[in-house]
Amino acid sequence: MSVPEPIRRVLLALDAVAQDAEAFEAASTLAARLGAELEALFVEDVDLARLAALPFARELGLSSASRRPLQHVDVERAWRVEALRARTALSQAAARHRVRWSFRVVRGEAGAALVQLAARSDLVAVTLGGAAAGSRVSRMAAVESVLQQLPCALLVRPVGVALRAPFVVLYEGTESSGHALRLATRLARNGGGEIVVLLAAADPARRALLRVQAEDMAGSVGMPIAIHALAPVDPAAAAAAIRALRPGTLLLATDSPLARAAALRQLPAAIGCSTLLVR
Amino acid sequence: MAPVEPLAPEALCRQCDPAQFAFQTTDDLADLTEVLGQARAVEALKFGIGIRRPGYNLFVLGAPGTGRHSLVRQYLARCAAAEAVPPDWCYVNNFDEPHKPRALQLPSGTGVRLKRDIEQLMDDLRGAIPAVFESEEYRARRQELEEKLKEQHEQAFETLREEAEAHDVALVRTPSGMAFAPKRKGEILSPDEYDKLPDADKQRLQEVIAVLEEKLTHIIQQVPQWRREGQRRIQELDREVTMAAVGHLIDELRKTYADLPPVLAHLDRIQQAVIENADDFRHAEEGGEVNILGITVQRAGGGVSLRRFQVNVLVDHSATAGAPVVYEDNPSFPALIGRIEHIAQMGALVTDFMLLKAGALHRANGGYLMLDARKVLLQPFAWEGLKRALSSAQLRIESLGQALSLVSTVSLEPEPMPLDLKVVMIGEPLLYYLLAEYDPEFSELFKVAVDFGHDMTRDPETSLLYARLIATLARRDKLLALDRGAVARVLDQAARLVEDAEKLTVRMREITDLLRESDHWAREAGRTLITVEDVERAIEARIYRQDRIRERVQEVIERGLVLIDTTGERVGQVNGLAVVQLGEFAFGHPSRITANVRLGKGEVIDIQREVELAGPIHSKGVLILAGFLGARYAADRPLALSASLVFEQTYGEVEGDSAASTELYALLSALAVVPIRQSLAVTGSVNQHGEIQAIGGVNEKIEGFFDLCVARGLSGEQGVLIPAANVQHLMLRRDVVEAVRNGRFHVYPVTTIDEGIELLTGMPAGVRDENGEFPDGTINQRVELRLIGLSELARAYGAPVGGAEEPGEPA
Repeated sequence: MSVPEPIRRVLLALDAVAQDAEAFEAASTLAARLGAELEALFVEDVDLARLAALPFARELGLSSASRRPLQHVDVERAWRVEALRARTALSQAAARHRVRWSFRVVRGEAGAALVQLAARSDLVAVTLGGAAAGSRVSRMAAVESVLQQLPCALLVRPVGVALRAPFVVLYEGTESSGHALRLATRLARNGGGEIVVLLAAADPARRALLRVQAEDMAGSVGMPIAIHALAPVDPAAAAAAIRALRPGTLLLATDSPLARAAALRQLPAAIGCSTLLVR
Repeated sequence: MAPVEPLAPEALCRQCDPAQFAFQTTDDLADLTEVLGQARAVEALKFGIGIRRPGYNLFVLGAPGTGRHSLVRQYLARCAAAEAVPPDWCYVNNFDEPHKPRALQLPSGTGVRLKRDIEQLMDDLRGAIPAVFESEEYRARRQELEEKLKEQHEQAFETLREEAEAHDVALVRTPSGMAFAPKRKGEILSPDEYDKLPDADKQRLQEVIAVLEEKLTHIIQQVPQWRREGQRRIQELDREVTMAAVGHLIDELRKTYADLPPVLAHLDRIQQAVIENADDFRHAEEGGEVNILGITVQRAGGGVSLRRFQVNVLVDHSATAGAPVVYEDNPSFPALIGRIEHIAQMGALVTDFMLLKAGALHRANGGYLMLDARKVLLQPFAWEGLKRALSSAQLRIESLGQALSLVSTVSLEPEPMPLDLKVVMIGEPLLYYLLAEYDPEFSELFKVAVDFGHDMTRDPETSLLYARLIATLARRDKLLALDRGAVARVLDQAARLVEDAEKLTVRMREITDLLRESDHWAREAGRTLITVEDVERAIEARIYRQDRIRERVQEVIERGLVLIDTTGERVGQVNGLAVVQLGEFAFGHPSRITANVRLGKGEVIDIQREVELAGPIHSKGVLILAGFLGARYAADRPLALSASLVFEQTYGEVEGDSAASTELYALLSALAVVPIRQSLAVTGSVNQHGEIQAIGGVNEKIEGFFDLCVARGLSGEQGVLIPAANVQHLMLRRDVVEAVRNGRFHVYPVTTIDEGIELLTGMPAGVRDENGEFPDGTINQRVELRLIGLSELARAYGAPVGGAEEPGEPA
């Protein structure tokens, strides 16, 4: 089994909607534990710019439902304000965790911009969903379609959720699930926290094998682990089983059935924690 | 007139004869269980405690040291022991109106049990409620509800988005809302592209967008309703889950307290509150206090919120036998009525029902409360608070600020408790009479006066009872036993203390002190019994400790700094006798009184009064002299003299009329120009008919003059004139009695001015003959002639006359 490439660069994807403080905290925590550099990407969505340029453009307030004209100058101002706010929050969080950081503002199509920058990153952190009405329409909705195409690891974090222990790893015996387990040991070793390994195998013999492998991998770096069995079932049932373990952060391989596109949207919200997808 | 004979030594001190007692020592005597000399007070006490009507509280009036406290306490304790234990009282939270805590009446001993049970319930709930909320079942059901709500939202937006897509319109998130934009091939049209569209398409797109916006508006407006509905369902779930945890625990308590409807009702309210505030239990472990920069702050966890469920046992009678008897030593307003305490939180003072504290009235409710009247009256508003509680028969805890409407901050209004107790106020008679006179409510609230006397009759029977009382006191204080001689001496002292040979004091504090001090001296002497010598020594030692001022006064007389003659004769000068009371010690000393007369307007000038150094009683006595002169001598002529009287070398206020006869003797001597024997001293008040009336402090006065005479040497001529009515009060020191027995000192009982003036001058007073004339060579004749002469002079000068000194012999 190959050793995963070290994660040296974490990319935090931001859009024009006000970010929750945990976005910066979680990304900084992750970068600090992995010893990586943090880069924030603030995307000024070109679609929004086009919309604002239309003669009849107007927006409806998300909480008041009031209609007001939407002008390009308003959008520009909102981007500036939000970018400044995000930069400030990032600098503060990064300073707390002693992480090197950079902040980049890009105007363009959000998905394309993300894919482009992800190519030179080892991990992308995005915020998805949230309790606000229309969140599915809003937060990073534009990039959802490209997440599966990203060549690197991906942290999907529901709004308001921190990156925390215990680290629950879904180990299926695949190479990428092995990478997920190793990543979990790094996170736990560098910041503390328990590691819980879920062995996804119905066959007892297979499960025993997976157990040995998992114990070997964790043992090689001196990290204790707790092991649970998870029979391969449908994503919803698996999500319920994982939720019962009260995970702080879930790590799983991108090729896991649970990480399919449809599930990806629901999983973090369903289990109420951040999900780290590892290739 | 027959000369006044001096009193026999036996009359000077009625000494108790030890031989009258059959016992040898007080160990032979049984304890005295009855109350001595207070039959009236005991009867009143029985009545006051027995009658169960509003307002029949008791006021015990009597002098300090008469055993009021101990007697009342013993009697109340005896009565209370046979009465039922009153109920416990608790305050619990009023969940509807937290500032109005509810009062719970419970059978005695139940309050603490309920408190423990509720605490246990809270402990159980702290575990049970988080457990059910942590259960997978709850999490799954809640997740399901939340998902349903979320899906409802998302579905609405998703449907709208799909509808928009169908019309080539995109739903775009803007910085603060949402917007619709036409698109083509997945991309939003640029303005140029839009401009190139046919007008019909533009029109269509704008209409479509308008319709979509309406729908979006509708969705956004529905979101709060959906959220409320979702919250309601989650709350229902929470209630259902909480009920599952709470119900059976509270049901157990319901069984325990099934016969106490108020507790059941409170348990219902607790159940309701727990269900409505389950979050408090879920985060209870976060509660408690933290200290920030020295300020204690309640954390926003269970520490605060769970207090609401506790029970404040205000009055606990679990260890009480019978009705309570409470003595409140510091009867301040809060100590009586109870108080509302506060705790500081972030610089603000806050309170709740747990900070209600009981007062003495709470503790004594259902029993008896003893209070010192003076202390109650000295404490601000304590008396008013006590009266209000007794009048309303309700006990309402409130702060003084609230009671006086001085503060209007949010505080508590605890539910009042019914008040049913007997208050026994103990105070001096003066306080009782002042309250009765000036406080109209007093008579309504304290209908029973328990009047303690300060003395009792002295006869052989009561003397024996008194001996038993002495025996009882000695045993109680673990003192040595007294032999009968010592008992007799204590009895004599008991009579001396009330200044009455026929009475005995019932101020047992003084007798107890005497016994303790006698015990001390007996032990010092290595004796196993207290003897008469020990009692004598105790009395003398006590006098010695206290008589520094007396010695000083006598010293200045002996050194001639204060002029007092004890030999020779002087016109218009008499030795009066005064008593000085210093704390509990009194002593007498002579004081020179002089009189001077001249032609005047018929006035007797009291120099003490003129300089405002005389009290009203003294002034009254002096004015009586003018009445006596005017009535007895030359009544048909105007009184044309001006007489001045003075206490020589006194520099403080003179009060009392015991020197009135002395002043009259001086005046008569001055008018008659007949000298008075300075070897005699005089005391006694007088009326307008010249009758000598009783005075106080007779023993001290005699002893005061005696001591001076002893210091200068007893001549056998010296003595004191006292009112005959005071003979019964004589309990003189042994040395005085011995001097009289040896003929070296004399005590003359005098009933009239005439008797006295004869003794003082050696000249007959004189009685009017059949012609209404006083005989020649009598004092009265000389006085009358002098007054007639003055009257004639006044006529000669032309009345009114004044200013000329009238000299010499009578006309």
